[in-house]
Amino acid sequence: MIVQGHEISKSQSLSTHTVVVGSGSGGGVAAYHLAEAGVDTIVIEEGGYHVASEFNQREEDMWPMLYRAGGQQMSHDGMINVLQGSCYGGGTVINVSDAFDIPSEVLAHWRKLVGTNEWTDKSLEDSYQRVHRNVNVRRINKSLINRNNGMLLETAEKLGWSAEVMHSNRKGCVGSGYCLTGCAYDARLGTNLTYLPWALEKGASVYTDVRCDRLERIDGSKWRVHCMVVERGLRTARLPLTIDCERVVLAASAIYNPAILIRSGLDKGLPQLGKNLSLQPQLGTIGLFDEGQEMIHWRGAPQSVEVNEFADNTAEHGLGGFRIEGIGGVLGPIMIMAPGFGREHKRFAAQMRNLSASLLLVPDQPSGAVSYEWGDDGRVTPKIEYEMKDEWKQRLKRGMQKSAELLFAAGAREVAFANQAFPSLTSPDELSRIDQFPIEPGWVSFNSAHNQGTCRMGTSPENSVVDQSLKVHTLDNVYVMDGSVMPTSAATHTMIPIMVAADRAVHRLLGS
Amino acid sequence: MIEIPEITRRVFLNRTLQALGAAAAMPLVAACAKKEAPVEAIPPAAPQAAEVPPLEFLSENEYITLDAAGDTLIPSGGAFELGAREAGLARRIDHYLPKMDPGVSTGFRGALAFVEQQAPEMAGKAAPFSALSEEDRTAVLAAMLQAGGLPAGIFLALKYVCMGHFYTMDETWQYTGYDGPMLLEAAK
Repeated sequence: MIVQGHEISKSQSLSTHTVVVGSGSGGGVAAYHLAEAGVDTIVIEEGGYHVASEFNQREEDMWPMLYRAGGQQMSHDGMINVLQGSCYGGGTVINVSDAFDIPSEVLAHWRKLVGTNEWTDKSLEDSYQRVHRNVNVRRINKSLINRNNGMLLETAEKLGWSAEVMHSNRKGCVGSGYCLTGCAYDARLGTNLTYLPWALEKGASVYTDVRCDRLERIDGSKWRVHCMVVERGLRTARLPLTIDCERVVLAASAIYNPAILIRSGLDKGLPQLGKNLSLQPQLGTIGLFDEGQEMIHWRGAPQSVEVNEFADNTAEHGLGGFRIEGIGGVLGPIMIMAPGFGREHKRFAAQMRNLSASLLLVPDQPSGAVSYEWGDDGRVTPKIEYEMKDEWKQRLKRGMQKSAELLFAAGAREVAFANQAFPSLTSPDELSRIDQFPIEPGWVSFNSAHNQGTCRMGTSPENSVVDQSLKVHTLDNVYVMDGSVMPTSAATHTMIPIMVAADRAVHRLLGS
Repeated sequence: MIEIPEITRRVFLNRTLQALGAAAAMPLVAACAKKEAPVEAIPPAAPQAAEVPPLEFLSENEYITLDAAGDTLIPSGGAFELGAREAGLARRIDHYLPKMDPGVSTGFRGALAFVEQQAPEMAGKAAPFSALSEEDRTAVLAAMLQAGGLPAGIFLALKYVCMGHFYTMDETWQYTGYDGPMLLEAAK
């Protein structure tokens, strides 16, 4: 049963066995496996319930409908646009479908960093099999690789650099290119089309347009989840709703999970809560090609090729180095990458078909934190603080040089990075100028699509928030199952790692 | 194109902010809704530079500021003739603002107030932004960019909103070569 907020006309008090907060990669997987095992489950989701027929391939309509803050959630200094899906299916409705596993080196790094000895390739094997099968993880069909991505692949090969076609969770993709604004063809197998409907079939309920505010301990180890039914769109508070339950699974993201625990007064004894934030900031790059070299980044699979020559994963630092990946399918964010304004800027727009678009992914070490303010109606505003370390900045600049080198080798006559102050490069001779690239608020704009770490997993409250079963160290029957448990960046794309983490945690829970 | 200032920008930024006093707007629009940065309404000082249509969210004076900012960011002429003003960009943005997160839409008001009232001083201009010539408005936006930090963040927010809405307008596609949503094509 799906209950949408507008169908609720008065305050409600419900009861169930398990409440799952959030319906994305973590919440969706958890809800299904719990319901499948016969556990009475209610999923609450702050965003709205939307289906393919509503996805009209127009950014101006889809950003407000499907993204947190209409896609304009920013880090405190304004440097990083922290993108989050906020709808039935969460981030799995608006991501670019990339499917990456957690590299072995990352698991080894976690074992060194926080002692997660139970997290090994072997111990995750069953979960990977289930998740890959359930969301149809396959290498992207070559017919979906557009020129924008194909150019990266061909040029990397020409330069002798390692590159490959990615895996994704698509089925029946027509190559429309609008992954980031919801698939109108139901070809991206997010939780909205897989785990959540399966959970509903097994008897779970999903309440959309319902915000989780806080948890209250009642009657020993039981919980009362205090929620608010919100107006769709503007999300103003409408009606209170409470759910009494035995167990709570938080899957509301690394940005919002800590808010629930803090507002509940449950942060005591959890010094790592809200800390260790990884945002994995990405820098956009555009290349301007001659008229005969059309890129048309908005058709085909937007992100299908990764240049991984410079990836450097080790047990010492986990994910390292950098990757170059294609991107596309959205006009606004790509046009803003072009520096400047006025008539000078219009020349980029006039050559939109000849613009390549790519992202430079530079994995980070945890270096951020979230804190919060609450409005009178309980609405929370996160303060996302993030520090870019010098070592990271150096890797970023090296990555920018390699990105530009690749694009010039592909025939670009101009290369620009997403910023407002640094002139575009017009020749490989100018690569050394990148050393002067200003990484400063207001001048450069990064994107983050992979927030992680604020409820990190580990072995004790001193080094983490949850244990290796993803239970909160200090609380009975409260679990966290999403990207916030990752001790450092799990992968360059986090949907599959989150699904696997939730799958493993729920199966251990049910097994115990 | 903006050159990186010789003076260290942090010093420059600090001086700029000191000159501005407490800024009316935060680094980006989403942050502008915070209680400590109340948004002041734009006083009716701006001349009627544009014909104001019926509005859904903005005040008339906010609309005039936005129209002027759009006309500066995306003027007519250049690589193609259509500009923000002819395309009705400000009206389109006004239509979408009520659907946005309240923090974003309120913050956008703050950004407009900053541009109209405070930013002109940064380029040595005494008049409100919307009363300036295109050349002077360009100088004001360039000064905001040059300052880095908060003023540049407001510039970026304006650019994001204006360009995001402009280039998703059907009227612009003939100039950019974008062939529109595939659903539209299928519906033909």
